[in-house]
Amino acid sequence: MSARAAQCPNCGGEVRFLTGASLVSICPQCKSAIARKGANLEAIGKVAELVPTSSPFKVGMDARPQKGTRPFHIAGRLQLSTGEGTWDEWYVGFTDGTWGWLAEAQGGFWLMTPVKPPQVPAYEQLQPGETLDLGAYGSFAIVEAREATYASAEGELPFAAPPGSVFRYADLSGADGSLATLDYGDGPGLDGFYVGKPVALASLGIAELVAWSDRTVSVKALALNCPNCGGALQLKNPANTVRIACPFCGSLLGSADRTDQGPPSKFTVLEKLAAVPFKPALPLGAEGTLRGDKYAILGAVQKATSSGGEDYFWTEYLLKDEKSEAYHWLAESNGHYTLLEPVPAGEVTDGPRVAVFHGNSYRVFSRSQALVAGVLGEFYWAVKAGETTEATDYIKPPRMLSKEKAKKEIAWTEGAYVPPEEIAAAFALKKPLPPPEGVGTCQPWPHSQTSHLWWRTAWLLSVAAIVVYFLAKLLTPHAVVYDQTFDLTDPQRAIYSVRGGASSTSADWTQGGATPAPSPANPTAAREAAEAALSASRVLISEPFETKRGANLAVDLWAPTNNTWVQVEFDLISEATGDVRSFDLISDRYSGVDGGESWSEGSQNRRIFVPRIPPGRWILRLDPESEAGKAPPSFRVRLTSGVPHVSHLILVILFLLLVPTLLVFSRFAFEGRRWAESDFTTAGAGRESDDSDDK
Amino acid sequence: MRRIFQVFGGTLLLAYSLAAFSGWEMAGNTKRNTLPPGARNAGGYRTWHFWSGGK
Repeated sequence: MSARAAQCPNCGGEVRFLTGASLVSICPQCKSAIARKGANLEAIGKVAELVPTSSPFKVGMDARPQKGTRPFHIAGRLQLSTGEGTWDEWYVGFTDGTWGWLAEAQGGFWLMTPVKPPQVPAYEQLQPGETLDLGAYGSFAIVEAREATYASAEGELPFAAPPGSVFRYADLSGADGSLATLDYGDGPGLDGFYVGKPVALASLGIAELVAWSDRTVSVKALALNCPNCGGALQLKNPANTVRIACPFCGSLLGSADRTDQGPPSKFTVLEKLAAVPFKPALPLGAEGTLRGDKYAILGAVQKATSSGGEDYFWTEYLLKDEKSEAYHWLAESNGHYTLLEPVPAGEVTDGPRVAVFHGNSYRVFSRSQALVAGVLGEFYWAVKAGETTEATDYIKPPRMLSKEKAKKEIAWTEGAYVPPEEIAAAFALKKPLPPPEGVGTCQPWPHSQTSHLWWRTAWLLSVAAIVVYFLAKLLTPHAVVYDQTFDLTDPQRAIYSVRGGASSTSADWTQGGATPAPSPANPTAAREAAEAALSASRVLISEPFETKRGANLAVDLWAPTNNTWVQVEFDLISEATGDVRSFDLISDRYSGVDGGESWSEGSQNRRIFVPRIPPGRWILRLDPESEAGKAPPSFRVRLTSGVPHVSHLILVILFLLLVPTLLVFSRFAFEGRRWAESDFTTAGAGRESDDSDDK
Repeated sequence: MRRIFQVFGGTLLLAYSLAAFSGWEMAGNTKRNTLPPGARNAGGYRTWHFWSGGK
């Protein structure tokens, strides 16, 4: 840094060049812009009066930032205007002799330094929303391409353009959060290229900074009366307010000449309305802490879109974050609220069906032409009814990513759903907000947490039930109480004998009984008698066996059936009480090849559980039957007492999962109601609509 | 609601544990009868005509 004092060629007052890179110094006495041309000084014009703004910076401030940023000195201030608003850019000199800009936009701050300009398209070819590949600098999204007037300045400047010059520029947003500016100046070529990163006000290490809410700004009144209706207007952001829409009469107030070169010193009526255009649910001017940040509600914009011949309205509240000084939005639709904050366009990857931000994919939900239907409150730009933008919402409930595209700029905001009760509590509303209607665009499913807990509980209990099953299988005294294999020795007569035969014989089966004599006069009786005799000849009676404990009894039937079957009717008889349990099992396995493909069906193994068998002695009566001439060589019967039943385990698990499963259906229904309001399907495809032109 | 579900689930698990360890069985696909004393006296369950007579 070098210091050089000289006389102003216009008024003779002292002008100083404190920064080596400075080419112009504004004479503090006569406001002339004094350019340094070699050893000579030349007045190249006069700057206008500075428009008071609420910027936290002043020329002469020194910054001792935290690590990662070099210390710097604020050497000058450039005030620019697009005609819709005025902002400051601060010329800073670093301690190593280099220089840069401390830029402000929408309450955010960026520290930018000049770098070698890359190859870029002509200014006229730039389209907001498009991506520029700047080689080694990376890819940048075009956020804004505008013209701005060099309105005023103070201190020093690093360029020698005369005051009043019109610059063309484009702001770019990088994927890593960086910001870049293409400075096309007033000629066809690129004059400069600046790249920088966002900086937090608190991290700059500027001792003299004053909090936004405590900052006194120029002579602007915090309170004034509407020149149309006389209503008392309490301004929250007077230093930046360009337009006021009176909340009492709806009149639009601004500067008389409509130059919009910053906040006017006196507000006049620009447009009278017969009535307030809409009634916001939230009181303008209210302050509150929402999700950890303190906000003031500055204004409300009612927007509208048409679809299917119907108009749909929603409200967007302009919030001022009192700590970061950024402008945020609180969008309200059908009583559902979403808190949104600006995000760099370069960090968003935009596709036809999804948009990706910070690694999260958001599905496209709606796209419409949004019309400003009405405004109320104070605004830092020259807002007016009738403006349109293309608004696209992408959702990942409870979060939303929103794109608003105008002719010259594109803006992305991202945020989360906020329940109305939280809004009411944050701004200490005396009355509760109207209950929301339907499902909000990014409203989270209300049972999400419950469902998660229930699923977790259900899984834990299910695992416990499985453990209980295996413990019971291992530890309970289940025992085989009967196990016998029977041979089919004479299929022609269908008489069976017991293999290893310690129990019954065929003689036993007919014991004690007299076969009813068939009568020639009654053929039916004769046939039935023959069948009964045949059946009796098949019946097996086991030796008594004992069950030791009251429990179930698993009865297993196995036979080497191969394209045949054997069916056994069982009667389990208590010797003590005559209690009889009757059931049947069939072993049938068929297989073959059909059309070159092998198939099989049935099973050689069958099992049935007989409930509540008390301890005692039991007899088993079996009545096997098979296909004539195709009987399997044998079948085996095994009875096991006290067997844990796996179907019980399955039933328990199904019961445990029943309620969580119902919640899944509830969620599907909820999402169905949400997407019924969308312009797109859940897959992101556009829906057929009569008013496709509106989309 | 979570507490209700925990109580419901815990009760279900307890009931299942008792059933598993005691060998309890629900009424299955079996029929239950009592052998008539007369049939038992006339040769009992080993007589073929009782089993074929009323079936």
